[in-house]
Amino acid sequence: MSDATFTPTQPTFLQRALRKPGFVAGLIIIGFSILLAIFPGFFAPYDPNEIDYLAVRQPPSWAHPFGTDLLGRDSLSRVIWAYQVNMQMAVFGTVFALVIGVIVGALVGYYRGIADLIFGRIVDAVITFPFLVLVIAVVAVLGPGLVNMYIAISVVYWVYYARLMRAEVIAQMGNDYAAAGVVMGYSDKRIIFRHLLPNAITPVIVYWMTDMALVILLGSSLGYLGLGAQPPQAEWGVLIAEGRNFISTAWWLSLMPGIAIVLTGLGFSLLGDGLADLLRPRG
Amino acid sequence: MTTPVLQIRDLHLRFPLGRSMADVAMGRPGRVVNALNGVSLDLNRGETLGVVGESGCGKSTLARCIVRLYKPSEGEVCFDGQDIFGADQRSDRSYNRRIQMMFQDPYSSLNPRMTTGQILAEALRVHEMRPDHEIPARVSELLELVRLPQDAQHKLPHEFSGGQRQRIAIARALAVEPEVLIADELVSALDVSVQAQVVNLLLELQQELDLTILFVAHDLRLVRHVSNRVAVIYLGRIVEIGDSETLFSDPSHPYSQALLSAAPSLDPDDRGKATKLEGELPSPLNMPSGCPFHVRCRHASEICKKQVPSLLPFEGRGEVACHHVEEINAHA
Amino acid sequence: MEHNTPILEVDGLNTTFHRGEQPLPALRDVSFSVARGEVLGLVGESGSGKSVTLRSIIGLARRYGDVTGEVRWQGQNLIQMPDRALRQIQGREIAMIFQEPMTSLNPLLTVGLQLEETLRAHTDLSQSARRDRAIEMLDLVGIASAAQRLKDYPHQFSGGMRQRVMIAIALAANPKLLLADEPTTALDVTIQAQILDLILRLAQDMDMGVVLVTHDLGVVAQTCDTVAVMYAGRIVEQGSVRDVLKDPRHPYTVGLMRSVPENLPPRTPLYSVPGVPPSLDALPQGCTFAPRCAACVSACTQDRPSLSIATEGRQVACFNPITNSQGNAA
Repeated sequence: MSDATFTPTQPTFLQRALRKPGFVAGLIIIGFSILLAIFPGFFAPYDPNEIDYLAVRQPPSWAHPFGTDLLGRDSLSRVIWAYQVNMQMAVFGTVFALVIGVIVGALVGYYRGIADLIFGRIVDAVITFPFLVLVIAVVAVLGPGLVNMYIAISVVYWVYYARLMRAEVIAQMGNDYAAAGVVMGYSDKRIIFRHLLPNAITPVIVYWMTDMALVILLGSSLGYLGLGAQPPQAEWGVLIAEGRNFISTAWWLSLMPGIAIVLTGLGFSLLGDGLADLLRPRG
Repeated sequence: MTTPVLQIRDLHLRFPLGRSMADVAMGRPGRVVNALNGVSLDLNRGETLGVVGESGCGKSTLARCIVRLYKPSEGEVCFDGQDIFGADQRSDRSYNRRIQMMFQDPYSSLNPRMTTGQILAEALRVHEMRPDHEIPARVSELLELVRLPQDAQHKLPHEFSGGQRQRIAIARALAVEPEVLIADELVSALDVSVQAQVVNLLLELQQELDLTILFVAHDLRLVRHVSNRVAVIYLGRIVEIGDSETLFSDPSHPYSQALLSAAPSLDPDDRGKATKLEGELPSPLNMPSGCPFHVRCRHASEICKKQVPSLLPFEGRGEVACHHVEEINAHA
Repeated sequence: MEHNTPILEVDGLNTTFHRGEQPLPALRDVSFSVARGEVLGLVGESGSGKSVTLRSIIGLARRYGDVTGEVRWQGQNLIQMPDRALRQIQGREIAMIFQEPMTSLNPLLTVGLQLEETLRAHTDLSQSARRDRAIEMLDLVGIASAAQRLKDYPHQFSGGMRQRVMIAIALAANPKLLLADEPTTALDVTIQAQILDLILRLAQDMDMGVVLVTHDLGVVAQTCDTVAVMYAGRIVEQGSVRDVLKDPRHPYTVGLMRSVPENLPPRTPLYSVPGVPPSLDALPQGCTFAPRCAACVSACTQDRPSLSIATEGRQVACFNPITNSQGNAA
């Protein structure tokens, strides 16, 4: 038939992805961070807990590129081992909130009604409260430690995901394909999870990336305050806290884990920005 | 005449807008959009019934009520004698199989992340139209039916033109082998030449598959061309309904007359002949009392402001809802 | 209708956009002129270049592509005019209205403020004179109780009223030319008739030229004095509305007219020009319409016909034009 011509095939997802330098940089940083987190023993030159009283607070040198700490432990090795903890935070600190938020947001956005009104009040309550204070309060009740921190973050944070997801589902329902699903007699479950969710999730995924950076920052802050990871575990916030008193004499103690935080955060942000571009449906 | 496949009786639909703080303080009830105000209509098997009117008149709302996207506030829609909003019918999905709808916007009515093949296969699978192993063959058949090439199966909606997308939407509707098709402004987003192709396809398929079509559109020429009968809607009410040729060549209701006359003719010599309608469609928030058209009607009298005219047969030409239909058409 | 000398002369207008390395010839060799008081219709299907033509004239297209050729406006070539000088002409001497009035009005400002802003930019009127002029303009475009409505925001107007407001703003500075890009496409027929009437009346009262872009041949028939039919970035036929619509010569014009369902037995197949318009990156070598044309002869596939005078006041770009009302019979 006459209007049956096609536009030429478009470049694949991978081809488009590789054309974005920011996205590629983010991918490299996060890819390498994951490698460090999984195989810290392979990359770290020393045992992170090996104490050497003869080499306390050594400045960076060839033998210890990041110097040594107050117990003579190799700072580079400790920063590398901390990847394990901090990358774990990025995952466990977000994934439960993500899953719960996406499901609740999709359901509330689809059905609206009373559930939506209740959800609206929850959002108001959570959003008007300073996030950090709320998490600290939950940790204070449950006690310090990583697992309690994950629980505290998830309890508060799913609301942000759900709010985003709800708005996006409502926007998507303005498209006739959702109405077409109803007219086709598809079940609500199919319309929500097969049709609306894949189209609505893009901003949530993008937000997730930046959120992982935020959670690393939050986790380090709690670690710094003594409410997150506990010494002697190597964690960036803990490491910065350990170097705090020596900031003028042994600056590398706090600086190196700080750089690791910034770099990882940058990696996640670049990845998020790139994905925002790549996942946008065309046409 | 055969028994109607779809009977719509006194359909009302009101959308509450919610009460503002001022309303609550003053003790006023919440505002309400009166989208449909007592529409009654029969759709006969095998016919094409055109529904015309200006935007906001309720024609799309009516279409969406028929496929249960909206629940009417009052009245009933009977399909083969059964109320589709009755208690036992609400969850009955076989109704969705027997009556299908195509939407106006070809850019939003297809899931952008599913290929044509997936879209069609999903419809077949959910309604168990074919055993699983026959689905690919049926998908090919459907593409053939709407004259799309086979490689369309593996493409996403954004790779198609508007006309092609509407073909996919038609194929999706036909996948479940419906008896009735609702076409809501199916071709109004398309260029004229593409419009012609899609309309031709629809007419051919109607013959081939013995379909009943409710053709909702604002393009009067198109409606005239495809319809057997036509209903003219104004502010949620049918003001005139009748045989398409008669209605278009000699409309009886003053609104139908004005509407048809406003459609610009292709003949430059007709310039200045049109009777111009003053004013705009009143907001469905503030429905005029009496006849909804009286505020724009040059024939309006006292009775028009007070009493809603009912839809009555007029001189064997169909039904007209106008107090003055006889005088208006006497000296015409 | 008698027209005096043209105020706008477009001569050999070419606009090229770029997709990556690839040039997309959106407009080629477009030439026409408009006189004061004349309404010229530019008609064609989506992608034919009718909107790009307006945007190239007023300097909106140059930001996105290369525009060459001549657009003569009061002895100056707008194509070569620097942006600053052009801005003095945009809005003041040449005004433009768009299809969707909602997106071209600022939703956060009252209509009165937006009208006044235009007046402040383009006239030397004092504040009170500006207000009077704003009321006068709203009144002129048929908005009741204009003085009160100045305080209203765009969302408080219906679609048709918004388009009236847009026209009021566009015409506030007394332009000599109005470029109207599908001004009634988003409106209902009864409102469309009102707006077209309004544009016609104002064109006459203000002695203003109008270029009206539309896809609706009916609108052309009822509104325009002259018409140019566009296909794939070129004008294929132009002349007076009566001549072109009553006796189309170019096979594409004939096809376009025939695909409108009018005076046809009901429920019979509608005519549609076979094939699809070529994509701009793959235009055929000869006449761009040749692959879809029933009257195609061998010359058509080799050379591109240029717009040449067929009869008095009529130009057709075709090697084998359809003669005398053959189009209606075919």
